[in-house]
Amino acid sequence: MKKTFLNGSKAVVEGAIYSGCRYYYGATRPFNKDILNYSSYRFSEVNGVFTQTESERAAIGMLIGSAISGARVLTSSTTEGIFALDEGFSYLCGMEIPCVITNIMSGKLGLRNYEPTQSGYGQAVRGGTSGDYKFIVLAPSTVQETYDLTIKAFDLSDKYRNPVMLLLDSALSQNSQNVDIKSELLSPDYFENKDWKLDGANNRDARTYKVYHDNDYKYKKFSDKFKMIENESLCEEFMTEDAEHIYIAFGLLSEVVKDSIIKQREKGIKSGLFRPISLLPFPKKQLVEISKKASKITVIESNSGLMLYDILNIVEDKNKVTFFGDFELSSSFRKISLDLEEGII
Amino acid sequence: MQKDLKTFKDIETVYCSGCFHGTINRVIGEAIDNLKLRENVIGVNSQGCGSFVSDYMNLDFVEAPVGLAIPVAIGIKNVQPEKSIITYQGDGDILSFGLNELMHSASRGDKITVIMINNLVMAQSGGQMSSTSLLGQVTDTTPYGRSEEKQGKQIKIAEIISKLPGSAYVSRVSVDTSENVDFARKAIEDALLFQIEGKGFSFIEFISTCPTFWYKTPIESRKWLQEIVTDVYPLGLIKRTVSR
Repeated sequence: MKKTFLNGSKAVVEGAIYSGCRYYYGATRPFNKDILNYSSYRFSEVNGVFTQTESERAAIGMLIGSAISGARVLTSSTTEGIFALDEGFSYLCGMEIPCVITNIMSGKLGLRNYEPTQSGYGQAVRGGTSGDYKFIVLAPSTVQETYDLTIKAFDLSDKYRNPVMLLLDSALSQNSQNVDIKSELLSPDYFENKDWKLDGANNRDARTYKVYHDNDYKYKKFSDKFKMIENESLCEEFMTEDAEHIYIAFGLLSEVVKDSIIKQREKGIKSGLFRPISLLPFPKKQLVEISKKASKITVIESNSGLMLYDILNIVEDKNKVTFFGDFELSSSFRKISLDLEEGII
Repeated sequence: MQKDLKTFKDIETVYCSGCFHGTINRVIGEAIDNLKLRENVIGVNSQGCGSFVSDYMNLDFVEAPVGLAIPVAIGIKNVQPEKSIITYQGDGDILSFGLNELMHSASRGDKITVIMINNLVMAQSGGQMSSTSLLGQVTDTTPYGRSEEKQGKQIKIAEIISKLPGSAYVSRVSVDTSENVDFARKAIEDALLFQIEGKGFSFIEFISTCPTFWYKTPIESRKWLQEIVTDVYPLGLIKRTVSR
């Protein structure tokens, strides 16, 4: 282990390189610059391949090609560029190609809205491309967790042969913290030895990967697979043992809420935080348990309430649930922490 | 014609009668067999009628999203530079959905072989005009014939690719006669050798027929191809770089 000072974007790259990933494909977007710039020399240092592609469409194509060859591959974009990657997502899921995609949340609608919002939740969890597909979506709240979850993302992706999306707040992707990173890298050769990869039909029958055949079989297999993935759900419970008022937040915003809960506790208010780390599969069982004990549940998001729908589907007594959120929350952390301390929210 | 091909499966195809896709699949198989490259070739097919190619070739094949066969090929080549990668795409796929990727790849000089089947219509989606449809050609979306004023002129992509610095081998071929079949087979062999020698991007345009959406019989289609189509899209070698 060694201590370094990294931002969330660089932590993703370091986590990927530790995991044996040697291929990065990505296109330019304002909030994607840190991953792109850092990858350009970091991947060269470890004899990897860094390609700045002409568009996100080309990036997802190259990712499919390298991943189907057995390599661990990383791509990244912002919410305003993920739509162009979308086209490949149903192919990645349909052909069961493992890979890690980083989605940095930025903007409200369209392009050129560079506010740090959490507007990418729906895009990551519900998706927008053709067919019946599901990702595994992980949302870290600190830079250290970003590094650790990137490593976990590659392992989950290989274990289930399913793409994993890391959903990062843009403020997390740009702000630096001290991080413990592993000093010795894992060998990429170990991960590239896969019995399903395309490497030329040498002493075996030809393999063909396509999505339009055997759909019934694939859907059955896919739904069975996702039942197993449900067991991988992750969450953090902070001071929830005796909490009467539970706050639910994900990503960087949950760190702000956590600080406020400590201050509320000093005033004698019994509150706690429930933070889903895996947004898909959502930690349903844990939330159901907690929601039974609490008398009030407040969902806080820096968007118009995208996670709220999922919470309302899980919590039995829906009258307990209130929502607080708007697009500007992440850019006014101070105001939200003051409001929380005062008990306004 | 060679028998007992290793790279081409001897099974019945689903292509319409008079369509050249089946012959083109076989010609590619023959070329790969001649070079003894079956274990070293990985194919990428894309959307359109050409997506059936993976059912008939005895090669490792992956299907790409529409227009993205070239990036997928580059991704494979990055991990396995010792392999030869071919893409098999239609004119609609490559020109309407993947032109950006084609131009960038050809300019960079990526060491892959791109095979484009130009049948002058969007066949799989139901016979609409494609960017290569001839002036005056009747399709489902140009019922009065393609006009220069309304729909504009067609793209002659092979000539454009030949002018890009990264392209090493560009040829336009067909399989309408036995001489042309031999020429096409030779072109694929040359293109694969150019890729193996690392000379740059190789591009082969096959002029094909589509009797179903040309609304002609197979014999009329072949005649139209020989008399009219090859006048606009002349067959032959367009570019062959000796050294980079």
